[in-house]
Amino acid sequence: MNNTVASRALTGDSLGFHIIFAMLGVGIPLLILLAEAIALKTGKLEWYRDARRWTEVLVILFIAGAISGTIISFQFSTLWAPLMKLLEPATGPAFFLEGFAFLIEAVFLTMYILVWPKKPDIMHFLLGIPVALAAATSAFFITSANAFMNAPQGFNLKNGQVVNVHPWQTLFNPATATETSHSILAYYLATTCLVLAFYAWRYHQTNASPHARNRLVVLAIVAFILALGIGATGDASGKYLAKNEPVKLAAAEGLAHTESKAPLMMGGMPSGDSFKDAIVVPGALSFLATGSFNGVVIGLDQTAPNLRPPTIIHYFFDAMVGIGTMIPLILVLFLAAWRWKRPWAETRPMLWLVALTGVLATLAVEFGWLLTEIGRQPYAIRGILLTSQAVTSGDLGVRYGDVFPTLYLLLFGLTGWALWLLIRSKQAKT
Amino acid sequence: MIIWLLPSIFACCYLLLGGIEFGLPLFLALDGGKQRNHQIAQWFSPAWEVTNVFLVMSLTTFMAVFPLAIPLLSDTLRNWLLISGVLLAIRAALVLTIFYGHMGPKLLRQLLAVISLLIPAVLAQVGLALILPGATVVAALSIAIGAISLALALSAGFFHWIAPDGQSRNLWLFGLAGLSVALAGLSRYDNLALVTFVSLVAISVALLLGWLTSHRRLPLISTVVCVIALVAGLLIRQWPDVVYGQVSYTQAATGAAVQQVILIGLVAGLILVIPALFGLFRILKRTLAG
Repeated sequence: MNNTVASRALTGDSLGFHIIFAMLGVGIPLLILLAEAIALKTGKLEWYRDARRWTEVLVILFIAGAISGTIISFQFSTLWAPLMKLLEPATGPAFFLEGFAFLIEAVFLTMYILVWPKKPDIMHFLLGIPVALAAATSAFFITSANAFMNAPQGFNLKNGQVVNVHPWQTLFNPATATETSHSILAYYLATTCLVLAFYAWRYHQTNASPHARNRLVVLAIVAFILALGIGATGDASGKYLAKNEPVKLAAAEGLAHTESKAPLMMGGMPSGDSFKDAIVVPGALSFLATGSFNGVVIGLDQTAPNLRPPTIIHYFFDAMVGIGTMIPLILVLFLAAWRWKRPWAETRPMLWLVALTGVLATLAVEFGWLLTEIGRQPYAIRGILLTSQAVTSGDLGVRYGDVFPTLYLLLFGLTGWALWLLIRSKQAKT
Repeated sequence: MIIWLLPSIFACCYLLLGGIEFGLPLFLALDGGKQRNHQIAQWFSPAWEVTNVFLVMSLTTFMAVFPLAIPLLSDTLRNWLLISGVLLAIRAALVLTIFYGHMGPKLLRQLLAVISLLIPAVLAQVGLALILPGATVVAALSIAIGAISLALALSAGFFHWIAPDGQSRNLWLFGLAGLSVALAGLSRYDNLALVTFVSLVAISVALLLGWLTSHRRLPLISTVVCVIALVAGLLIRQWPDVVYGQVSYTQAATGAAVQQVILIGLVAGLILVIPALFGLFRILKRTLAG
């Protein structure tokens, strides 16, 4: 394995783990706020207890997330020195603001945990707002730095150096709005679905109390609303890609030639620049990309073969969109069954189906991230710096290639174990 | 000017909070009883994440403010940063095991203590690359001893403030003595001679006062003052370079427009963070005192 591949694998592995911690770190504060708001409004202490439990879970995830984030910042400055040389002057403010938002979140979270009144309290609820806001702000800025790598602007390159930086333009580049909104909503959805999955899975293991039922319904409603929001931002992302990163969309859809009435392809086997035996919906890609069935969509033929992303992203795209379609359908089915009191609403198969949304939504987050990153290849910064030029020379990636994945597995396992201990201790108390 | 000081301010905060945190597991390993272990656990979670955020902030701020210094440093720092990454990950795993596993076996706590003291020793090499590029083995060893001693002195001082006893006082004195040895090792370098001399005098005064009195807060306050004075002294000595003798602040700094954005973000954030940190300190003090 050469150093570039090893460094990519190492960073990809680290980010793949970290994104789960980050996702939960952004999503759980929103759910905690929601639970505390319901407790305040209704006076039901069960919701307040839920808020506390979720906060304890958040603390464990915060410990693991803070460390995995620190390791990633170390990895970027060591494995990707040429990339950081170009990236840092332009996206420095985004990294700084992300870190600062993280600091605000950590400080307020610490206070939020330490000051926990026996009954729901408006001041305590207010203390939770900066936690949720700072978590979302932190996600916004780090995603904005990633968006810059997809749509770099607001600087000049002079002798290989980034000069004349306009920080507002780098922060709010053309990809920022769609990428940040889609990502943050996806984090919220995946977290809500995971929490929903946990309670759906345990529904029959514990007493199915009225609160347990209400909790499932509330979480399913929240998840459904978020899923609709994701559909809207996903549509905007598709239109953004068609306009600004057409090669990524063409590779994701296996569109070999620039054409109007471009078809949407699902599944299939790679065949040259396209896919054979795929399910084809004529004109659908044109409609999704341009809003018109006759719209022209740029194909792979407009880009030199050595500058095209790998065709594997077609499957990531399909998986992400497929999951994004499946989740609201499952939720609608579940909510309708509850609303009209169908006998199968509380059966194990239905609840397992609901539990499946947690796994699916998490996978969709991973697929979305893979699509963004691999879809940008062979560039690290689109049109500016090739990935092969972005990696630090030497054999660092190869040397540390085994150490970090092992450590991440250990960290992941122990985080799961700590969470399990927490759940078990709560069970013993109730 | 303010923006140039930023990474140092965050690093100083990390030095103080991290020092306490990296030294505390030693008390856990020494097994001072259930109440003491409980106090340590309370400090670790939830204060733990605040400490680590300061490390992230020091790094990201440094990279944002002095992006042109990164290429100069990456060769020297890459191994140290990756090693500290490995150690931090192992430590996080141990923290999760110990604090959520009813303190775990003593061997694990001892391992946590050792790794916790190794991390400042490794991270200190990053600081050394800035103040003494191309340093010798003596300098590397001295700064490693200094970082470990500082962690000891800070955590012992902190504990002496929360629950004063002979053990914490002795460990504090031991930590300061170790720091003096480290500073003596560094004093042979011309650019550090004056700073280390002044710091040694300050530490000697603190040691003497600590020896003579049994004041509850003195160990922590005097150590914090020593740390701030040491960082300030190093900064003044470093001026106008960001990497001593290699690149100046003005050469490495980012453009005015980027500095402006960072400053706006900083002011907006500090309006929230400063009162919150003050409130947090009061709450923590009350909680730890029981």
